[in-house]
Amino acid sequence: MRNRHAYAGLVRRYELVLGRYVRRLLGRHMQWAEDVLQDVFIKAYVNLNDYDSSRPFGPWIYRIAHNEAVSFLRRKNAESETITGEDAELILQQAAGSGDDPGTAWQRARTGGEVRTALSGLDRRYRDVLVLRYLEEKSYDEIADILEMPMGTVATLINRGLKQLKAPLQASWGIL
Amino acid sequence: MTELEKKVLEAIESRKLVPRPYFLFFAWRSVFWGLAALSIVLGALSVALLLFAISDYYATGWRVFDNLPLDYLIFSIPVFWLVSMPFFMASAYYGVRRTRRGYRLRPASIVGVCLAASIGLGVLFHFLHAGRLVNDILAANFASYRQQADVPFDAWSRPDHGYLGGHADKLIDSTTLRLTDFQHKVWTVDISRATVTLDNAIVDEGDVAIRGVRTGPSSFRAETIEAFD
Repeated sequence: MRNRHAYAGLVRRYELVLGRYVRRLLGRHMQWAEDVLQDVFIKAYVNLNDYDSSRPFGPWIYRIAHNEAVSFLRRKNAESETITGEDAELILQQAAGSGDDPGTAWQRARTGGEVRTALSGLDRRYRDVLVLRYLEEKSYDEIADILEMPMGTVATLINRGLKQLKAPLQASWGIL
Repeated sequence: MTELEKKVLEAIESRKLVPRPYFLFFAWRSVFWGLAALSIVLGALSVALLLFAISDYYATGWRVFDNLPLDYLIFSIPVFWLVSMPFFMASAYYGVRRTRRGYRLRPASIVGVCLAASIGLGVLFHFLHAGRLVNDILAANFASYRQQADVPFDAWSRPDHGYLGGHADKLIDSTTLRLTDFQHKVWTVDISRATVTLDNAIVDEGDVAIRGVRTGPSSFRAETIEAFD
């Protein structure tokens, strides 16, 4: 019982950040976020002994959250709407600010609708890395752990994701 | 305590959940490591077998028999190795990917490392004569292997065609050798006109490869005598 209450401390610590992340992943199904989040913490508790204590705890529980949200969406037979228009603008803004993207496409964004349209064509694996990189502010190393992929793949997906995100905007603004 | 904390704790308590023991995860990961290790070892045995076939070809004096050397080598490569290699590589890839940090490695790296490990270990196995051992086991138990691979012992068990291999038992006199072939048949070999290319004395050599002419039910006249391996 004492361990369970100690675990409650962990729940408290990650509740907000994971809640936000799960809601982003669920998109229009975000009303289910709390149920998914509860499952995340239960699953994390049951699998606590699988956690490698030589690594940070954050990416491990993010991975569980990611997998739970994706499983939930699969059960609902729905594609994730990972990013809202506002989030997308934030991604472009962050990318420009971080030096990852030297362009200033986000500054040219006239309407959230244009950005949303650009995002609708974005593959989920690109959206996943962009959300983690620019909205959750995770390092490449952490993203590799969360999504279980090599760091080089993370970098490639971010690069391609940004390009794909910009392409339709550039076309509509006539700056290609 | 937040609402979520309460709900999580209540769910854990009502369902009487406890963390799964560490050994379960360890055993699960071990299965995948085992798959990867198995693929490397089987790959290594295949490499050792291939090296054995190649070295045997050279060691027995580059004899061409009925085939061109290239054909000989191609037929020496065990078909099962070619067939099973993708499976071994796939199991290694899947195995390593399922380990704690294996997902950090690129597929090409995993396959490359496994291949390199198989080749390295295969070379070691070759020097430990594992290739010959595998060859003997396969040849003894699988007719299809004997047909596919040009088993050197079979190739040197054709006295009617002039190829006789076996263990040099003893010199009966200065021109006559007693030899036991690979089917355990005893031969009397006339070596009076043979060109002998051996590092050691003939009876110290062990297995020898003799080209010549069959002169009787259990007699043979040698033209050349070389080491078998």
